[in-house]
Amino acid sequence: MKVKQGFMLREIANNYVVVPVGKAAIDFNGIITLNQTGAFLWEQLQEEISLASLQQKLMAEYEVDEKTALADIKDFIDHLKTNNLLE
Amino acid sequence: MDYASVRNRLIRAAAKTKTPMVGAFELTPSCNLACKMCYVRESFPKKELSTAEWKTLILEAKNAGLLFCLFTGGEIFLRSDFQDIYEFTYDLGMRISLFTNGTLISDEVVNYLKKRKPDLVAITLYGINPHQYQEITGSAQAFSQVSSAIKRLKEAKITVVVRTIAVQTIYRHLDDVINYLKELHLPVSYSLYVGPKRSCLGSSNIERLNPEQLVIYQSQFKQAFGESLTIELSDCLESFRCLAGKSSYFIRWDGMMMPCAMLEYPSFMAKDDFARAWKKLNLAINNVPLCEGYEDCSVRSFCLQCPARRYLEGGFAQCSPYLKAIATLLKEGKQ
Repeated sequence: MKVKQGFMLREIANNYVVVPVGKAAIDFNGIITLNQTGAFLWEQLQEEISLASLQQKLMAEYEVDEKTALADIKDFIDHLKTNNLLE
Repeated sequence: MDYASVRNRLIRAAAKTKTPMVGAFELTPSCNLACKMCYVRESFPKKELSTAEWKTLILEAKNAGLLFCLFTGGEIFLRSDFQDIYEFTYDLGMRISLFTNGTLISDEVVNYLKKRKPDLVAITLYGINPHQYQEITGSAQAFSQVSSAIKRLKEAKITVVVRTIAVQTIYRHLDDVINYLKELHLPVSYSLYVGPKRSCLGSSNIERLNPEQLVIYQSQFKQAFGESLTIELSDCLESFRCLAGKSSYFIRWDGMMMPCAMLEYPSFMAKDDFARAWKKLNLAINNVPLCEGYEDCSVRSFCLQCPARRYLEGGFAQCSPYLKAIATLLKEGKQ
């Protein structure tokens, strides 16, 4: 899985926001705010990545157990799917 | 959480870290209309920043934290390079709002806007028929141009906000204007304050309402459309209750950074060093005094005063009789 093209992650004033850029995100209008974990996952999803790899990367970056990492990732992926942000 | 709430939360957070997240860019002082009360329009040519200069400045602003960008004028669509500047800014990751008189929004303009949608296009409405437009802007045909623009933008699913200002021409037809605005089914933003002078001409502004008229105007608009919201700190003892100089700024057509569109002091040249200008502005706003007697003022919670309005009414430290009269009437209305 991978996030769609046409978005930029920005860190401003200790906040992470994702904004559309270019013509690719023509149907999206607004911003997405992310916490630090969300921003990390968003960055990993710039390239095609499996759920298992994403889980391993999250566990390597943050001290979380397998179960928590998987639950967090699934929540995040659901959120992206709901907003039609995955390729 | 809706978009406006997220936006407000981010802007408030930016003020805590002194991050310039909100920037208004006056791309040109030139306008194709000649409104009676305008404080911007210049009737003689000025050397505006070039395309390259605006792009450099906007890039520096982005690096400093700009997220919410407003393009204003003058009339922004008079600039032949507007599309270039707009698309450049959008692709840097900015959310953009546009202030326009709505007379130059062709199909071509709508075509590029709908590919990179702005947060909103705010169109100032100066009347509800050609006759009123002629009276206030000097152009009767502007009315049909604006009506067409609103239709085109709505069809393209671009958010349109209609703005009005408190001037005599609107006030004389207040009920008709409000009914017309209701029938548009668009968000309405109304501002109450109009300065005492047209700064470019130095003459008195015959269009602004007297305090009694203004309170009626405010009441009718509030009843029809609710509060016209701006982000302000609560009844605090700071000179700037808004976020000017804390997380927002205004860049004039020549590259000068000001706290807001109405306030030319304190100001610093941002064209060659944005970060330095912001740092200076952020410090300088602390030196702007409150009006005398503010702490003990019985109507301060109702007062429209702010540094820009005090400055225009006679001085930062002075209590303006005009603003005090409005505040007194508003307080009496609440009791």
